[in-house]
Amino acid sequence: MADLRCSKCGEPNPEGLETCQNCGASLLPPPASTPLDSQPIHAGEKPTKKATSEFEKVKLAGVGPIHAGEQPTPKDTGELERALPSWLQSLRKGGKEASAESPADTSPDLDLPAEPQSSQPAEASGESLDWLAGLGSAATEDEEEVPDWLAGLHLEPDILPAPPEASLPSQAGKVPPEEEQPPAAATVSSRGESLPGWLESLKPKPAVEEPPAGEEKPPEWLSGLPGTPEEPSPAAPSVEPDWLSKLKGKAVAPEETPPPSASGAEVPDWLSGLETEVGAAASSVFSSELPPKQESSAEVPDWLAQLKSDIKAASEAEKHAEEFEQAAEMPPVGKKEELPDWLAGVERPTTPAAGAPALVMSDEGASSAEPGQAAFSLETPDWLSKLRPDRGTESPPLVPQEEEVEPENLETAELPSWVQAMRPVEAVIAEAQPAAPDEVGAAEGSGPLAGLRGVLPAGQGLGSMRKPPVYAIKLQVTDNQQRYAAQLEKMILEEGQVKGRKRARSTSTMAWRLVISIVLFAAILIPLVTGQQFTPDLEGYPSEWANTGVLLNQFPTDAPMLMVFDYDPAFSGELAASAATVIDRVLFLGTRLTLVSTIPTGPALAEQFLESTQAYHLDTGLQYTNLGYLAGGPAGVLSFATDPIATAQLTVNGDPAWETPALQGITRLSDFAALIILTDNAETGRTWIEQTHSSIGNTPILMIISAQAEPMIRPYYDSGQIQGLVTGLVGGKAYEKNYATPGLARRYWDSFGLGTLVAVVMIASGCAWGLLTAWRTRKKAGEEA
Amino acid sequence: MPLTFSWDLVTGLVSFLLTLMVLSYLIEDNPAFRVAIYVFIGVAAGYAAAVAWNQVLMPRLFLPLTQGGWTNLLLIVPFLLGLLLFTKLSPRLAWMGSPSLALIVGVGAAVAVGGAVLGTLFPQMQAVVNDFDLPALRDDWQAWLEGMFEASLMLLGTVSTLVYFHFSAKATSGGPQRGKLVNILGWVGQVFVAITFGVLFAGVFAAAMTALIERINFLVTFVSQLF
Repeated sequence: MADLRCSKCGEPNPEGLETCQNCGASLLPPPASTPLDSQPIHAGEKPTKKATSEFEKVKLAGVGPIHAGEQPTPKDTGELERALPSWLQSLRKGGKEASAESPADTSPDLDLPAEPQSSQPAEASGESLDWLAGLGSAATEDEEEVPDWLAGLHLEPDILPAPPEASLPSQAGKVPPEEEQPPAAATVSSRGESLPGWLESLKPKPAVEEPPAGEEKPPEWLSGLPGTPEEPSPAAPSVEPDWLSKLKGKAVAPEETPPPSASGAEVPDWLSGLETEVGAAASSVFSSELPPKQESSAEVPDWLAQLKSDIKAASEAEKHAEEFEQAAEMPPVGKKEELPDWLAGVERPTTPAAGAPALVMSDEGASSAEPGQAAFSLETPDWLSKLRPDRGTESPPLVPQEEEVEPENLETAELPSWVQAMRPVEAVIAEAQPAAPDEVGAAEGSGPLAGLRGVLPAGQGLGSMRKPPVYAIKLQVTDNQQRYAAQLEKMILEEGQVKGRKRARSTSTMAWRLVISIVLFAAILIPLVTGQQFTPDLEGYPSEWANTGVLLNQFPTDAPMLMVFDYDPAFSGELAASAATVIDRVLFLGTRLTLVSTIPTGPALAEQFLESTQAYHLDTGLQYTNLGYLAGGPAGVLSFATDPIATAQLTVNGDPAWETPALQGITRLSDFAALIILTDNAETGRTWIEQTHSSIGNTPILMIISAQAEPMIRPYYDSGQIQGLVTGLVGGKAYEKNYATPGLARRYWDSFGLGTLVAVVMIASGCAWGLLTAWRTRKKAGEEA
Repeated sequence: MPLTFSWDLVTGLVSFLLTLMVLSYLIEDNPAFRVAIYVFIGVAAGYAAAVAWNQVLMPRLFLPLTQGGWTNLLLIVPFLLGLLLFTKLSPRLAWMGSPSLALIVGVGAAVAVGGAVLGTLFPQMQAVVNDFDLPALRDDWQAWLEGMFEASLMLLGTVSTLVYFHFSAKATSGGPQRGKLVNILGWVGQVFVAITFGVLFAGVFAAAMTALIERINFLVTFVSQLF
């Protein structure tokens, strides 16, 4: 059983497999695309141009593109082998293999797809085109892989006769890889005289003048196609290949089947059979539609004239699109099982896009809706894609699209695709043509969809491959902006620098500060040191002082008193001076004291207050109970006011509080004879007032407060919520005077008066200096204005 | 009488040095002042912690739990709530302390609002109304006149201060403008506000002056006792 050799890795694979067992590559004949076409096409590239460059590359020097009516010159077609589509190459190789193994195996019915194998070898025929020999098979199974002008040859594959098994080349699958094939150019060059006639015409003919467009003649070898059946080509039969002549003859008279022996030596058998079928099926499509052949065909190469007529026939065939498509898509009924093994795996694609690479066409050919393009919408070799009809006219162009290729561009065209793919992006962008706004979608630049437009939905990042625009690096800033930026930079730099210890204050400020301090200290110190009276005693008494005195005198002996020490240590001096006389008066009444505090330092301050100010009473057996710290703030006060026994069970020493003599008979807050609150904070005083108002009953509240809390506490005295109020040093001094018991208040009084006087003078002096300075500044500003 | 070496002398000497260190701030910020401040903060915090342990946690929580018997098992609830407060130290476990914190804040807010409404707002409103109790002052025209003046002044101060902090204005073509009466009352309220701040400053100054006098008196007394 013949093996299929993978075209990618070269490993043999059993016949019938579609993919390589070694590398996984597809073993199917690649669609009509050259190896160059299989290269990824990037944005900006023109696939058609690149494909044709291969052709242009092999074009002989000094020979320009072949225009309409121009006589082609014979060339060394060996160079064309490299530009041949892969499918043609593969088929050709297969055909050569088959011919080599069974050269004598000829069949009179050479209408099978595998005709190259059954036909005579190229060497024997002498003029047969071996690479075209594979068209027969391709026309049967894969119409999309066939050039359009040849597609008409197998419009009705169902009517093709089944290939006889004997004529099938069993060794077709033994197509060696391309690298094992001898170079086509060498093969052709070694048998130069055996070149087909139409290729012979490609030889340089400098004396040939370019005929006018109207006198363009199709090539002779194409004149025999069904496109021009009525008029046989007048070209010299010596130039025209025999097999084409036969084909032409069959096209002219389809019913007449010449004996194969008449032209067996010149025309491939398969083409003869194909000609017969075409004459039977396709002539009805083209024969009446093709334009008459021009008379000046003698001046035009035969093959070009034939090609022209064929292209015209294809363009005209669009008018019969329905018939064309039906004929083209009709499967070979009842003959598939008769196909050879090597063709069994070659399935006809259902759609042109499925499994087939993108068409490499120019922009003009992108639109498939134009008339006359249906015949070229199939996969065509690049060099044939140039031969599509002109868009401006209904008839297809007779020559490939005219495109000026300057000689200096030859080097660029010869670049391999992989080298072109490595070009810088800027070069691609520069060559990229901006998409027309009316185009439907952007043309794909790479991959299997290269060259197609609108096949992928336009989305972000899909349609544009352009490099982002490059903006100028230089900032456009104004002078002011630069100045601001410099200032900002300077500020940032200064922040990062380590500065030495800054002498924040100037000497004058420091001097003023020291002067003020010395003056104030002197005003306070002089009365304390000298003991002299600098401040007169208070004249008169405010109402709260009188009411407080009356209240204190109403307490009975042994009355229980609850004293709250809620002030900070910083205010102990002021509170001691204010409360010393009042507490002394209370203790003289023989009351029982219970101490409590809502700040942690309160219990210690209470002890220190009694020791420093009430030493006399302590020495005479004063009994008091210190309940210590009452936690919880307002909640603790509320709890104590609601249930004092449960809230404060122990003294500050840990003893049971309610068993002490000071708390005998006390079960609730209202049982106390008075609530005396010493505080420097208006909030603390207000908390006691608010949280005890519902539990205290008729028990009076006496508050000894700091001077700074008076503005906030006085409204409670005015509203009657507290019954006594002693405020600051002034209140203590008033009670000392009232009871004629000089104490701390009297000692501090002169210093307080003198120091306050100095402070007021300095404040007034500062205000006067400030006003004077402001007045002078305003006056100076007015004079300047 | 000169001080002999005793505990009072040591404490007095420490107090004397700390006072001088604090007063050194008159020159400028210096390490002596900072040391005194740090010592004060540290001692205050330590003392507060000691007080909380000795006077709150131990006698009112741990001792009842360990020695109180079954009747005090409900103290486990505040104990656990207190422990959950320590989770606030960890950001990952801080959510566990939220119930305890919510309980503290909620109870505190409820107590404070209730006390403010019932202990300050209503009594103060009643006091303002009573100042205009003209029949009560009818017998003494001088006291009536004084009471009326005081009540009127208090009413004017209250209303004008509230108007001063009333910032809404009518939209006009020339921009938002307040009415003339509102502007006048607002200016009067501004005067009352200024007087109030002056009174507060005087109270703070008087308290600070008294504290300074007490410290200087301590220094003088300590020095006089040394010699």
